[in-house]
Amino acid sequence: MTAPNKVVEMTGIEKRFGPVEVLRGVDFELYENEVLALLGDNGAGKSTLIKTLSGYYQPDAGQIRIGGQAVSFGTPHEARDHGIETIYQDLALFDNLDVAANVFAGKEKVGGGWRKMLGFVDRNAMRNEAREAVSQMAINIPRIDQEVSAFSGGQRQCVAIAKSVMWGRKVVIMDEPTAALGVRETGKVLDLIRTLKSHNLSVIVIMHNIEHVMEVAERAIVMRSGTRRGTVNLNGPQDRESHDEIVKMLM
Amino acid sequence: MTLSQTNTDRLGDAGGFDFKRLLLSRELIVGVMILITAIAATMLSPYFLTAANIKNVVIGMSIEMIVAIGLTIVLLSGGIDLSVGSVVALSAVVIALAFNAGLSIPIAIAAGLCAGVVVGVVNGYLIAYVGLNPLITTLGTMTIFRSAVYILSGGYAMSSIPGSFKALANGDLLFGLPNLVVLVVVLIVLFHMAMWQNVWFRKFAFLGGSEMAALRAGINVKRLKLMGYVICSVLAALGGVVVVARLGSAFPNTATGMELRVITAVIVGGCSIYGGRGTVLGAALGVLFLALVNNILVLNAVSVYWQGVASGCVLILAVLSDAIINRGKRS
Ligand SMILES: Nc1ncnc2c1ncn2[C@@H]1O[C@H](COP(=O)(O)OP(=O)(O)O)[C@@H](O)[C@H]1O
Ligand SMILES: [Mg+2]
Repeated sequence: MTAPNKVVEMTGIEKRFGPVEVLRGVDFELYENEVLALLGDNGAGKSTLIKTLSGYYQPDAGQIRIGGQAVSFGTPHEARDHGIETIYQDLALFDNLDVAANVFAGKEKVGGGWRKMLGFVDRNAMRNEAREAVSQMAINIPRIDQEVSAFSGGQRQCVAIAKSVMWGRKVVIMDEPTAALGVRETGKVLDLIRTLKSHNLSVIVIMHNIEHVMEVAERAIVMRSGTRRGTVNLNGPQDRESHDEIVKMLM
Repeated sequence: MTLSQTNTDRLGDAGGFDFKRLLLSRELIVGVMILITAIAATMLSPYFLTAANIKNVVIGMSIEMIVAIGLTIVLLSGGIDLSVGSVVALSAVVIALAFNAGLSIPIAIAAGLCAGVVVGVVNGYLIAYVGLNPLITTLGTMTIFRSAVYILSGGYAMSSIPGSFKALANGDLLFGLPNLVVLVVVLIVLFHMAMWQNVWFRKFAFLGGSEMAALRAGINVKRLKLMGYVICSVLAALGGVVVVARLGSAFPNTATGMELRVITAVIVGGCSIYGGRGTVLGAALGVLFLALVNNILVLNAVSVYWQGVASGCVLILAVLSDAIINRGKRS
């Protein structure tokens, strides 16, 4: 077996906000088609780290490589162009619009012929593609032409995630996707994460519940006060040894 | 209504047409209300269905219709524009001044519309780029430009308007339909289609749904906001063109209070004051509905002072019905 490729490699990432040193030389790596959990106390710097990867912040020092190529992202858009999609906690959905409009927001399909001249969108094509993308997810969506305001938390995650699969991203970042959800909905989001893996994407997920981490992730990176404590390979929910190792690092 | 909860487990198929949603759509509700009102009006007054009365109603509301289109765009995108009434008057006075200066009709019209562009850019710049509150900003520009109207006109009605210009608005070139009606219908259809289908115009609904999400979707939110106010002001200025052409003079108090009347009508037509919801067709139906209600009052010799009571009640009933229909839906 050849060693898996690194899709993302960050080395010596430093970031400070004024006098506060939030990241103090963090190394980070994400392998191809891997589900990686990022763990750590509140304020450990997890969100800040992934925001430097998603182009939201620019690191003060350190290097980011995507697929072996050095990059620097000035804006979230540049990160997205490199295949890195972030599912934000607030999901950034348009409550007033249907699934298709949400999935295609900012990249709407223009129809052919006379429609092209008028800049008219191709609703049917968008609807069909959105339905296709959403139906591959682990969560059912009642109607593709319904406003997402009526959706449950899990269904909203599903719409947000369908977007990234649809646009052929390589890496999906989720910052505490289950924070606001109940038990049933949380289970559905864990299913969604598995779906992403089955679509050959790599996933970085920030989660606090170690049981949930053990259920979906193959590896965990633990952070502490702006540094990396270490990494643990995980072998499913029954892997007590790794579980205890994570707990030890978190303490 | 919790439409979705019952069929959560169906897979993501559209499964035919959503009749329930159509039945609850504001356009249909207002449409039915218009029909009922028209029937009631026919029974209440023998004059209602006369050609003269209908023509009066339709032409009387044409300016509000044009203004309503622009306000729909601004409201849909999450803003508000109180300056539209002042823009109507400003454009009218600028046109009258242009005629006074001996300029030709196209140049005079262009000058009126330019006044609209100026106000729109001021509103849009302050709101989108400086980040000021839209309500306060446009309250300010409403006051400023109303003053400007009085300053420019000296407070007098200006009526040296060429007859050929008046003929534009009062003629009927197409199948005997008044030109104004043709213009209004064309504008409504064009803008309704654009907001529904055109990639660029659809962005206003995205902006009104969630500014943050729109930003993340790569929409140039600031420029779009600015453009919304510019379009709204230019349409209001077009309303000013129509006012001058129809009346043959520009009064400095033209369209005073129109902003609130049109906002009322647009909300009755289904626009949300919080943005993200509303169609041009709905707004037009809202204007038509309020015009009919007022017409009933006029035909039955009810004092015009009651018109405000009627419009206000319709507005509150509309918002109330919304609250009932949407009860239980997450906001
Ligand atoms: N924009 C910012 N300005 C100043 N301090 C910040 C900013 N963002 C985060 N921090 C600080 O950086 C530290 C790490 O924050 P964060 O990355 O959100 O941690 P985590 O996601 O692990 O809980 C916290 O102490 C937080 O207060
Ligand atoms: Mg965080």
